[in-house]
Amino acid sequence: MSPVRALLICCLGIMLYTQAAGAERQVVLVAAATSPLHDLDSLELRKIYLGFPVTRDGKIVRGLRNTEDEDLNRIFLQTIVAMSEKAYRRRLLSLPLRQGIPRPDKYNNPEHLLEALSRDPYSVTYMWKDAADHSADIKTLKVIWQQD
Amino acid sequence: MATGLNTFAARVILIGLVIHAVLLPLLFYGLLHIVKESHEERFVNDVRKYSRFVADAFEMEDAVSNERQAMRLLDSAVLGSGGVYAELLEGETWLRSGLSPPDPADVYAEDFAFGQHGDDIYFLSIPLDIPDRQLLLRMGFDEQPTIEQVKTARQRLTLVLLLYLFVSIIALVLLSTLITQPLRALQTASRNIARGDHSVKLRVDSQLAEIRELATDLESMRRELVGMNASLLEEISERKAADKLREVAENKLRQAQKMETVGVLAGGIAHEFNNILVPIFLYTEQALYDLPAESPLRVHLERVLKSANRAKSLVQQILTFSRQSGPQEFVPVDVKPVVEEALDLLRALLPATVQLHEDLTTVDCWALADRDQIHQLVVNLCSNAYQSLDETGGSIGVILDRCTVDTQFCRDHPNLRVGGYIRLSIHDTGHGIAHGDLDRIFEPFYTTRAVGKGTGLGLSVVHGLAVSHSGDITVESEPGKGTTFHVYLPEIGTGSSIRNPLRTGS
Repeated sequence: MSPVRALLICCLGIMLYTQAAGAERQVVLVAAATSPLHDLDSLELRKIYLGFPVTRDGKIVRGLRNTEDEDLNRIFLQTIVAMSEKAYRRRLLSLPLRQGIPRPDKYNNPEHLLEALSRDPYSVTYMWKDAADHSADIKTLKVIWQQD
Repeated sequence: MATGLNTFAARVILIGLVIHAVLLPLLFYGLLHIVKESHEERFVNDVRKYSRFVADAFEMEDAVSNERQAMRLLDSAVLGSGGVYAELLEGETWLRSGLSPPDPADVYAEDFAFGQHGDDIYFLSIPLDIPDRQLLLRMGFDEQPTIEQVKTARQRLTLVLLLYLFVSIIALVLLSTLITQPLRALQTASRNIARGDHSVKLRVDSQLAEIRELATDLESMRRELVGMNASLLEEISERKAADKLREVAENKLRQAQKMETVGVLAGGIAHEFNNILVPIFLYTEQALYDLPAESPLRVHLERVLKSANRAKSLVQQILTFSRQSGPQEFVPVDVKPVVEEALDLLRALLPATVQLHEDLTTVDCWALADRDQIHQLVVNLCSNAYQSLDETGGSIGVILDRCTVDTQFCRDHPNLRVGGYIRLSIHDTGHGIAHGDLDRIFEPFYTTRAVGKGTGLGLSVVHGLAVSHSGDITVESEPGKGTTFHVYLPEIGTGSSIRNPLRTGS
């Protein structure tokens, strides 16, 4: 390989890396690929994660929390439930006591999260768009956050 | 003495300060952290909820289709929240509130925590859920009021903790004073007791039970100490008195043994001497009888006889002193007539320069005695008194009375017993007796007179007579002023009440 070609390859690699690093990151709302769910507006989504019942086809839609990384958790708190972490924690603590509603399950392992989604077609969760694109068992319902 | 950091108060204050120095910073930063976290958490919660509320308003009222209405909503969002920035963004186009800063582009970094980018503004962006639109609501909120609140909380917390520290130090000082004040009172009282002031009572008015109990225990110890001290002093006093008595008794015993030894020796010599005198008397009287009346040798023989009589008298005195002059029979005797008889004899012998005063007004002075020996005792003492006077004369006083001897007097004179005694006192105004001689004047052959002027037997004979009558003799003398002898004879009552049997002296 000539030095010129090697230099060109390196420049191309650097360009591709820079593009990838500067690409927009998105958080998307997903459900199982077989789920009958098509869309949930922001208010419904907030209701689901705050413990208020949202039904589709007479079934309650369940929200699963993805806690695999801290950034995802922060975006969830700021964009979906619009609360501070402590306020949301207090809210979760009062759920079973005041309303008899189970708390949203938390998953910090993506595989377990996907298994839970596949088990219940009326369940939704959120994840990085990159991760959602790599799984054929789920479908993206909407973008809930994107980086500037 | 406790000084500096060794005092209880200093230690209490020091320990209190050390504890506060350790705990107060921890408390301060702990409380400050809680306050700070609480304010920040509330701020984040509020701005998120408010932003969501504004986003919901845009989504529900379809305000985005009307730019004027959208602008009003954005302005309202900025004004209603104390926010600093609000805009709607769709691709490259944007609609910004007129109340926002002119160019906030450099602070577009989205925050997920309070003070995340150090710009004092909390930015967040929320995608609006409007069909067929890619709208983004961006809002910025000033973090400065919350930062100021935390600063104010820090200042107030500092003031409160400083006030607490001040109050704690005051409390520590008061506490240490409360504890040490009664302890110091106890200490002062203890020192007074140690100095010998046992009257100080160890009592404190303390609210602390331990100190009250300590004072009570120390007071009990003080009382025991006082009691022990008193008994110890009494014991020492008794022991000293006993030692003194023992010393007197030992001296008297030594004196008695000495006089007994001398008496035995003198008695033996006197007996032998008496045996020698017998042929002198016999042959001298025989020679006088055989010699003619005009013989010049009679004078010599009469001198021999005279000297032999003097020798016989001396031997008699020695035997009297040594009490070997035969068995003595004591009978009830009224001493007063005997004394008067002896004084009558003496008065005739005394020169005119010597005055004899007598006080014999006491009647019925009965004692078990030998009349002749009492007579000899009076004559000896008066002769001794006369001989102590110088050539210019003087006076001799004789008093006969009764007295009662008590325990204390008996201790000093072991020959006597508690009870009634007849006291014969003979006083002279002579040259007196030196103190160094007083202890020896009753020793036989001890005399302060010139050689040939006295035998040293007079007072020892008097002493022997007094003791043989179960009595005693004492002497008081002051050189240059005179001497007084007191002879004590046990009284047996008046003549009609005499019940005592005859007694035989040894």
